[in-house]
Amino acid sequence: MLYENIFTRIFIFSLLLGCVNVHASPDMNYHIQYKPHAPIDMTFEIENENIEINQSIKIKLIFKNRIDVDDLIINLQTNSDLQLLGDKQQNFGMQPVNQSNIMNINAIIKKQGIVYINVLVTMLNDNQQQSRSFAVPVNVKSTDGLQATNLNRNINEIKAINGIISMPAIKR
Amino acid sequence: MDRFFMQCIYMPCMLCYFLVLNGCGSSDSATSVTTSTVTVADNTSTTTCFDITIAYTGSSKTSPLCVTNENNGINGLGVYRFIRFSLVSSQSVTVTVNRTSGLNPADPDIQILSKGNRIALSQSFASNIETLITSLNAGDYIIQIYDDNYVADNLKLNVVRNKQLDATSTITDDQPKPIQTLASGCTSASNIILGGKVTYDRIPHKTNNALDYNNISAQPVRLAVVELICEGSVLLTTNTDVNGDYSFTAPSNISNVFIRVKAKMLATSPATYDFSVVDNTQSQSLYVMDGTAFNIFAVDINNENLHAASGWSAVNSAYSSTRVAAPFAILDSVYLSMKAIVDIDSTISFPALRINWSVNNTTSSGSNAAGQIGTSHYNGVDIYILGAENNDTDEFDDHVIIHEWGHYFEDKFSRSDSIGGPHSTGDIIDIRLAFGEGFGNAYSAIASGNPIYRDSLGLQQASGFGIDIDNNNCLNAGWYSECSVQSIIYDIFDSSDDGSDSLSLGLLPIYNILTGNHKNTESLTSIFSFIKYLKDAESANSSVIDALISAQNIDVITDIYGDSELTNNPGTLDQLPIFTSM
Repeated sequence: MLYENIFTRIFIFSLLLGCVNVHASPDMNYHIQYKPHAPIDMTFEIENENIEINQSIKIKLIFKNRIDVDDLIINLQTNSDLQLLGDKQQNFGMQPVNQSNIMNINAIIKKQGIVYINVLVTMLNDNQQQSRSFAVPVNVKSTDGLQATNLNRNINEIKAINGIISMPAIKR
Repeated sequence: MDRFFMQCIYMPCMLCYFLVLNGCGSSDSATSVTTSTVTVADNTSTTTCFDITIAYTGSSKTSPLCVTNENNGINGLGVYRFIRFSLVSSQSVTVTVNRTSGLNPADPDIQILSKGNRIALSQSFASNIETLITSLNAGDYIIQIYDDNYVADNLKLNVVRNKQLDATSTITDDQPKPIQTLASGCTSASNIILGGKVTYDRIPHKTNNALDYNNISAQPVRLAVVELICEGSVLLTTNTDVNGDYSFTAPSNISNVFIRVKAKMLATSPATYDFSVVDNTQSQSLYVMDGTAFNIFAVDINNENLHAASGWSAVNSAYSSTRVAAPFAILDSVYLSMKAIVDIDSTISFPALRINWSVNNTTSSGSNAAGQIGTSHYNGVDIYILGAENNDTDEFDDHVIIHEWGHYFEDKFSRSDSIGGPHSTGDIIDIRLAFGEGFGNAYSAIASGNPIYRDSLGLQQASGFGIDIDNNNCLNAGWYSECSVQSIIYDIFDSSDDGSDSLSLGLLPIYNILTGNHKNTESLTSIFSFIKYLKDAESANSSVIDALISAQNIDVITDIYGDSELTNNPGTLDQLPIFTSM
């Protein structure tokens, strides 16, 4: 029953959002053209969107393969911002087309801001391997409960000054 | 348990909802990793039928049309069907759509298209009837019936774009030679020659599509803007040539200058272009590479060389310093994209284009300014390229960059009626999407000179995704397949005959069709319109083109609407005719 209520809410919430493509195109009449990818899709659900540092979080990953596969392998990867509890890899084995598979993960978040869980999906089909990568964002509040929306930026990034990002050349 | 929220990644609405609802039965295990399998019902597509009536003074015609909102797991975007009609004079036209069977309520919506542009739209909330009244001039028109509850993005389904070049993006300063402006405090009575070579680390792919960090090579930075900076100001500007070499006639006896190489290609003659690589997470600031300061004496300097390093650490198996090479690798793929066109149209004028890349650009969807770009894409204005290490980096995936540049080219010089969205080479998709993506894939092979499309990704960029563009054995081959489209276009281009391919026409006839009749087609842009016009232009090769088409399960094309397509339905769906004529 709990799931019924939750999923009813998810359904309504999604209807309200309309699963609108979140890319805001400056030209509203133009449709966004994506690069091709391996024929696998993923959705995710995050329990407790009000997560704070050092709290555990449950995330449900739902995969759906668009072709028959001989094996479907999921690999999770994070940095020190997040501690995954349990296995980081899951093999689903042979899957017919249009099959949905669920992987539940538990994690403890160590840093405020937007933390990503990288999900690599590998499909084996007729001895050919194809992969697709996803990133699941987790927005972690600070311990004082304030919403932290800052991006945890790459440490090797150089800050822009006056519209220029000056990177060092090597003299040869 | 607190409340859940859900986010979709590249999945249309109903597919998202369907998965969520089916997930209700899954385990709510407290263990850290659990798995379960959800059986997906086969009958997830819904067919709804309507009577379509077009009425104007002295005329009223009604035709049935069934629309299948395909959600069969192949591709939730679905395959559309259309009504087409012609007017010989200006009329006030009433289009009425009345549901006869299927989904109830259906809430049909109507849009009328002319040459790919939406000219009328009606999307009221009437439950089963929709009426559109509009004035139309003489001409050919297409009606699309859809239900925006079914297909995400459908309200943005169309395409009203100014195909004229943006005046602000065309370089008007017709100065093909380097600008030589002397700055205060940096002058001299005599000059010397100052030059060098600019290179960047190129990381190739392994055969499994991963990046091969053991075979990094230095490659020339081609046609990039180079500046001599003196006392904080630009003293001289030039470009590297195709070998990465640059040269200034610079004042002698000045001190503390340095060389700046911009991730930018800029020219005004004979071809006009302005391509730059910027950081979408830092207000679209431009990437540049700066050399160390040096003094210029009264002797020539020919070895002021600059190199952009990848930042990769073999010891750490990670990027451990600034990824200077990345913007220049992207710029080089843009060079290849542009060169293929300039080789056949030397005076072409490209509208300015920014390619947005950041080490924070990840496959999560959200704010572009935060790097949540979803995937590498073109949005009608800019290109966005992934860069998040261990997730998906595309700066060395030249086919990905050229594919997206191909969308830019199609948008600015040809016409794309594509509805956009997710796609794979085995998917059954809308004719417009199939053509656009198939062209993008084919162009990536054409411009790069390599028919093997490679896309590296994952932990340490050690995984990947690949497509053999020249492979004619397409899963779900047909007019609804991007694989079929890419195979046909590439075979028209290439000089390597295989299977049914005995054509070697090069890029020029493809370019001429795309920028000519295909751009102005009365139909929607698809393999039908493209091939019809190509056969008109290459009548001597008509039978060879037919053989290529037949090899992809497409009936011989004789018209722009695909009326000749009589037998090849997508999978089990009945989608023929694609255009119902009234």
